[in-house]
This record gives sequence, C-alpha cells and structure tokens, in this order.
Amino acid sequence: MTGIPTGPLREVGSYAMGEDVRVDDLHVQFGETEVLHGVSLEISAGSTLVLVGESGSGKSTLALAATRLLEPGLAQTSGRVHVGEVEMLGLTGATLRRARSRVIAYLAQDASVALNPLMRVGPQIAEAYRVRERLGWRAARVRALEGLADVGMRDPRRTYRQYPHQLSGGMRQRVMIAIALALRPSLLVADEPTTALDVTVQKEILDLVARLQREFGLTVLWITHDFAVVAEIADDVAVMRDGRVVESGPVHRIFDHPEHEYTQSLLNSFTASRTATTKSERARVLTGAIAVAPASEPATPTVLEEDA
Amino acid sequence: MALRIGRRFLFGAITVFGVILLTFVLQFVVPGDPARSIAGPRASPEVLEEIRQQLGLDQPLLVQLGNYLGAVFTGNLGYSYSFDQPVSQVIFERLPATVWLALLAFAIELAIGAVWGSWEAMRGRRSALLTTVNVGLLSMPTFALGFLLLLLFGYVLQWAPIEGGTVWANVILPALTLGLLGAPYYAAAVRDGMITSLGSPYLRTAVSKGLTRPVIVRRHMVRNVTAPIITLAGMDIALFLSGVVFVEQIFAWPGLGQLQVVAFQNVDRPLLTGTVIIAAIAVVLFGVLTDGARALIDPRVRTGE
Repeated sequence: MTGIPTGPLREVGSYAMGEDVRVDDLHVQFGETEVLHGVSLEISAGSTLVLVGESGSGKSTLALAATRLLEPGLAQTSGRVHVGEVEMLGLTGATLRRARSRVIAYLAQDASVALNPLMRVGPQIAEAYRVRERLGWRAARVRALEGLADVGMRDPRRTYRQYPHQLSGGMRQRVMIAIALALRPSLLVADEPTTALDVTVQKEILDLVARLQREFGLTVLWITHDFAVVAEIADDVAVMRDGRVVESGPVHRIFDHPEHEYTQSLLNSFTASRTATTKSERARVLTGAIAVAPASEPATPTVLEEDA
Repeated sequence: MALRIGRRFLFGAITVFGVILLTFVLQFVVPGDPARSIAGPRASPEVLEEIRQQLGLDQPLLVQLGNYLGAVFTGNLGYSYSFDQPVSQVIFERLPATVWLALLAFAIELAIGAVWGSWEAMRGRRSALLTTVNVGLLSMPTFALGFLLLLLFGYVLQWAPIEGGTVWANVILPALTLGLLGAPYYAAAVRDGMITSLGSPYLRTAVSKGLTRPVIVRRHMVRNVTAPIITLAGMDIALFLSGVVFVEQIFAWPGLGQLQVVAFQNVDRPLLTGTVIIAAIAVVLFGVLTDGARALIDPRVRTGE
C-alpha cells in the first residue's frame, strides 16, 4: 500500500468517515413511465453494497437519483436518501451544491467522455477545491497533485498537464476517481466504472477503490451487471430487476443460497460462463443470459440549478 | 504546431498561386477585345495595334504569362481602364470599407446568434416566434431584406441615411442586413453546441463536483461551444472580405463588391482579376487562421496530425 501524503493541507478538507446510507422507497418517474418502483437499500458505514441487474433494470437511474443528477423537468423523484444525517432528495440550491461530492460523489461509467476533452486533467480536479474550499490555484493544484498520487499516478505533475485523450482508459478512470474523492465524500456511487475497461485494468481499478475505501473509510454503492465484480468487492448485494430490488443480503448468502429465481439465473449464467470451455457451451450460456431489456430510459440532460 | 501552421501556409500559398494562374487564363475566356474596350468602338486599327503592343498582347503566350506573374508578385495588378488608376490603388482605397462592413456584420450576426441560440438551449424548447423568424430570415433573399431595412429605418423611421456615403452611419444598415441573414446559422450552431454540452457526461461530472453555475458555464461550456463557431466565423469573414455585391450595391457602400460590379460592367480585366486575387487571399488567410484558432481551443486537433 502506498502511503498517502500527509501534511497540514491534508487536514483542511472535511475528513468525513463513511456514513450509514439508507434509501427509502425511492420512486423515479420519467413522464408517465415509472422506472423505479419504490427501491429501499441499506449500506452500513464503510462497507460496499453492490447493486446488480441487467441493463434497463433502473440501476443507473438509481445512481443518478441518489446523487441528485437527474433533470427535475424530466424526472419526478420521491422517497428518501439518507447519508448519515443528510437527506439528499430534500436539498436545494447552495446546500445541494455543498453536498455534491462532499456527501455523495458520483463515478461515471465511461471516463473517456466524463472528462472535459478541452481541459487539462489537473485543473479538472483542482477546480473542485477552488470552488468548494475557496483555495487559490496554487493550493488547489497541490491538493490535486496529492489526489493524483493517491490514485496511483507515478508522475502526478506530468499527468496534471495532460489532456484526457493523452491518457489510457485506466488512467482516465483513475483521474475520475481522484475527482470523485477530491472532497472526501461519505458515499461513493460508482455506476459501472469498469465496464469500458479491459479485465486487467478493471482489476487494478477495483483494487484501487478498495484501498481508498479503507484509507478514507468510504461507504460504496457499486453498480454493475458483472458478478465477477460482485465476487471481488461486495460486502452486501442487492439484485435489481425492472425497477425493483428483488433480493438483497450479504454476499456469501446470495452466492450460496440465492432465494429469488432471477438471482439464480443471473448466478447460473455467471458460473456457467466461468466454466464453459467449448464454443457451443459458451454460446448456449450467452443466449440464456440475454434477457429481454425493457424500453431504455430517456436521455437525461444535466441540471444547472439556480444559484441561491 | 508550428509545423502544422507552416504547412497550412504553404498549401494556402499554392492555392493562391493556382488562382492567379486561373485569372490569367480567364482573361482570354472573357469575351471582347481588351484593346477595344480601352480605346472605344471607333478607334482605328493602328491605335488598337499600338495599345496591344503597350499591353504586351502581341507577345507569345508564355512571355505574357511570365510578365503577368512577375507583375502580380511585385504587387502590380495592372492598370484599371475604368478608374484610370493602378488596380492595386483602386483596391486599397476600397478595402477599408469592406473590412469595416465585414467586421461589423460579423459582430452583429455573432451577437444575435449567441443570445438567440443560448436562450433557446437554456429554455429547452423552441419558441414559435423565433422559429418563424428563423425560417423567414433563411428564405429571405439578401436584396429583399436590404430594401426592407432601407425602407423601414431609412424612409419611414428616418434613423439611418438613405443616400450612400462613407461615414459610419452608412455602414449600419448594410451590416445589419448581413448580420440578420447570418444570425440564424450562428444561433443554430450555439444552440446545438450548448445542447450537446448540456447532455454530455463531462457536464454531469462538473455538476457532481459541486461547481456553481457560472463556473460551469464559463469553464465547461463556453470553450466547448466556441469550437464549431470558429469554423463558421472563418468562412463567413472570408466571404464578407471577398466582396458583398448585393448589399454594397443596395446601400451604395463603396467596398470591393461594388468594385466587382463596375469591373464586370466595363469588362475591366485587370480590375476583375485584382478583386479575384484579393478574394482568394482572404479565403486562404482565414482558412489558416481558423485552423490555428481551432487548434488553440481543442487539443485533439493539435495532436490529430
């Protein structure tokens, strides 16, 4: 484990430890179509809940709703999302902005488009310190360089000056992690951040998040369709289908005694694909694994809320 | 980067050279006898022969080409029969008027387009009124809008002068005409750019950082919307600089466009080729400038060699 830089600057930010997270009866509706039908989840402080489900099951909508990144004009949201004492869905204006990335941070699916292509990587981390901690560029840069070192960049000064397209996919996702954790949030919501990466890089990213989770005492909600990821990092698992959580519990219980038949079929296709050796077996597994995807969710433009 | 700009300049120079060659060829395609158009219909054969000798028209073609290229590259674009002045002098007297018109027209179309486009993007849906205005402007011929503005502001309201002139008040209506006609294109570019930017994952990242709205707009939207507009602006300014015939004619604004009309009417070959060469230089120059500006804004263009 590489040591994180310590020093006076390290202490400036709020050093929030992970908090208990409770999602209560979360409904999300796009126009007439309800996408989440009352989802409830609990994550204990510092642990990892992995939310599994096929595409279209509403996992990403849940991530965006919890992080308050859904467009209010397009989506109606009801329910409660508690992170410690903070209830996210009730926040507005400046309070909401303060809560973003300090209470909940969001790690997007595809880092190749989640970074501004026209901006150097470093300032994209540093601007969070500029705005949220009112630091000057020099101090913000120092913090950003620390962040880049934390996510395992060998030469943070060089990376700081690079543009996103000059980095590999894994490096870009590391930068995204540095951005997400810049303000030491209590909860990290990761929306399939390793899907676009190849398997070895995926493993590196999972290990990195696990390490940072221990160091910062982070609570993690990790969204994926991949049981390999579940096996790797989960403390608890929730299985989602058609906007509902059909089963949840500790990871070993879900793996050993899945109760819901949908969980069983997901697990079967996973273990089968692991053990399938011949082409025809793999093909059979794949056809079995393809579920009928419900109509895709509408694209959701970003909210720019008014300043208080 | 320097290499890239250097290469663009080299290709630009080759293009201009090609245009100069073409203008030489065109002089033989244009109907009529140059000597005749100088001396008039009643000149005697002896006079015509003398003029041909003066112009070097009796020389072999290659010698003529050599003389022509030599003259052009030393800045001598020939002698205008209709103005009785060197072509370069005629052009450079008119150039400031065209530059002023081009810059003002560009400023107007950019200002209107930016406000219009960003308003529509932020609003989230199109307004019926603006869509009507948009279709109206897009289908309006230049001269129709020009006369309309002239009638309204010049005759009815009497805010702007009707008669042509060279003071600043005279440039407002022609610039407004060009600006209004160009504005829909800028509005569309700004609106599309902003909608793309608003829907992009990087903007979601910016919001999730807890940045304030002005910071998000300034740091993450303006530059990303500027890139496509630069291309549009480069082509537009080049076009304006190469002479705006209709508008200059309607408002009697003494720029290069009017010069082209005079040159055509009088079959003034040197003047015509002169304005064509100036236009070619403007187009090529702004092509290079556009390229450079885009590279400054977008790092992917820089390394995209």
